[in-house]
Amino acid sequence: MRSIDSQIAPAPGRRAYTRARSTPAVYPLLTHDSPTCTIAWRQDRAYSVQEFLRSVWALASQLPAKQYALNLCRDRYHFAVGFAAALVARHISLLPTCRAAEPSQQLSQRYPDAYVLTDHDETEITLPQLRITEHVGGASGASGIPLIPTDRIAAIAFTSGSSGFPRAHAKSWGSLVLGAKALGRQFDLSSHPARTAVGTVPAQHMYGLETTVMLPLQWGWSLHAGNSILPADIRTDLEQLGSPAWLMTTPIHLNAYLSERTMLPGLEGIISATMPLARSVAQEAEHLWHVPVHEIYGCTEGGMLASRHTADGDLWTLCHELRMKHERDTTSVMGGHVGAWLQLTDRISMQNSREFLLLGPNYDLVKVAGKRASLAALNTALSRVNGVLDGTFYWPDQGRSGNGRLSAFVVAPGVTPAAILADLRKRIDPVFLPRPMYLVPTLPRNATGKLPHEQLETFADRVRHSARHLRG
Amino acid sequence: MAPPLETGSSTQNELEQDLARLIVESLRLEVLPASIDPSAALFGEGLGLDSIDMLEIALALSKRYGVELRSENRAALASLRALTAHIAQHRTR
Repeated sequence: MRSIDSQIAPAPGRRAYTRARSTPAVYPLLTHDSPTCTIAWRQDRAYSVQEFLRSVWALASQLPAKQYALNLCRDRYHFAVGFAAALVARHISLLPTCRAAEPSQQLSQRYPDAYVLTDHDETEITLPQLRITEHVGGASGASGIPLIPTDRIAAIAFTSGSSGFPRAHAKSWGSLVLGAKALGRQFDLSSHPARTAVGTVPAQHMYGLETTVMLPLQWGWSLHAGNSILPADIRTDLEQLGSPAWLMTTPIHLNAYLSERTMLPGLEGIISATMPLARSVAQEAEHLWHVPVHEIYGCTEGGMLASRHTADGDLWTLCHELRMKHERDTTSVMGGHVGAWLQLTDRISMQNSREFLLLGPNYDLVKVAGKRASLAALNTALSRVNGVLDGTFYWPDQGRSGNGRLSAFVVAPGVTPAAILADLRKRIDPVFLPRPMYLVPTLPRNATGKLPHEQLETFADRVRHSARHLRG
Repeated sequence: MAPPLETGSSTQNELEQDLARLIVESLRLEVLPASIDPSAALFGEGLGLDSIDMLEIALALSKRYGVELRSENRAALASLRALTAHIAQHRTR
């Protein structure tokens, strides 16, 4: 049976809960002051809170009687309507960041009681699909603000586990709301008027969800529906937008806009995350666009954990509500939206109880374009490729140099690089595909069959040098 | 190196070869530029490029040819041949 939440806030604009020391039992879906407030923009079209809520209630009443909603919408407004409707209908939104065939099939098998919410054709997935575009935009119907129980599981985000299977991380509605509140406090949003969040990261990514969906919902902001990444598209988005904006982006995108000296009209702030931003780049960006550039440090498991104003220095400031501890080479955080102690996958040097330096990821971990994978898992995928006898992925200087992409050394006599890549593409997220991949006669394994880090580095230098030499 | 295909003008072929090199170099692909099938898909199937690749290609095209790529020109990225036609029409240098 389908179940729809009947609990509705008394009237928009009035706080439906009191701020107590303990976590309240419910949080409203959104906190905008009035039903006429703008909650989203698509090009120069504004969507009001009332329109949004009508679409949410209408969609919620038409969702299939299942448990999980796999939200693959690319348009951020569609995503938000789908996410909110699922929440109201007590469905858990699944947020995969990868659309490759094998992970999609694994997801369908793991969550057979799921359906797909989408706004385009999904070919890699066999689950029943609901086209969200057909349900958005009703002119009448219910438009109350849903009150969502704090402990309701709102979403499941995924990271790649070392076994090669994605690891699921459940997010309660309470933890998402507390995360959005922490984000606002970290950037002092209460002293800013409502703005529009423009993102170059997908809403399915934890960082994208926090900054481009939860922040607008919980701080009375609007979100930009677009999913532009090209410099010319971002410029047009900002030109058409009838509201000052913040850009939620990554160092890869920021570097691109800087190198193009892209005009970003109406921009008031930039937030970057997914990988560290060089201080010189942040300073250049602030000089070019005359806006502050902030960085977020976080992870899928915990969400935002700390921030820094990069131009000022390398130190990160922990979110106010969190505590951090360091024990035997590992660092953990707890409190606020994080909950119980969470062990971090990065190497961290604590300067005091509130500030720390980020030294880099643990050696098994690679981060490309905000996506994280275990080298062991990638190597397992590589070893399953037809005709591959031996092989290893390699991350030069942990991604600090070069293009930040991985390379690979593969022993596969008689197999073409194209065939290996085609096979790999079915098994891993394409951002981790090796660029380049070197076919080699053998790998420098030691007597116990291991590939020591230093030996691999020397080997990599030699192979890359001779490859350059061959190309001339 | 495979001989250039006998289609279009010779400058078109030159541009196509330049673009194949630009794609291979800017994305550090392990294929010979001449081995890119001019009619095969660059994204999705074929070379299977992703959105960061699209950003890198857009930057390289802007720098070398003064052409600003937009998502509405996505059809131009359908294949090397489509890209060649697009750049030939819009290049400013």
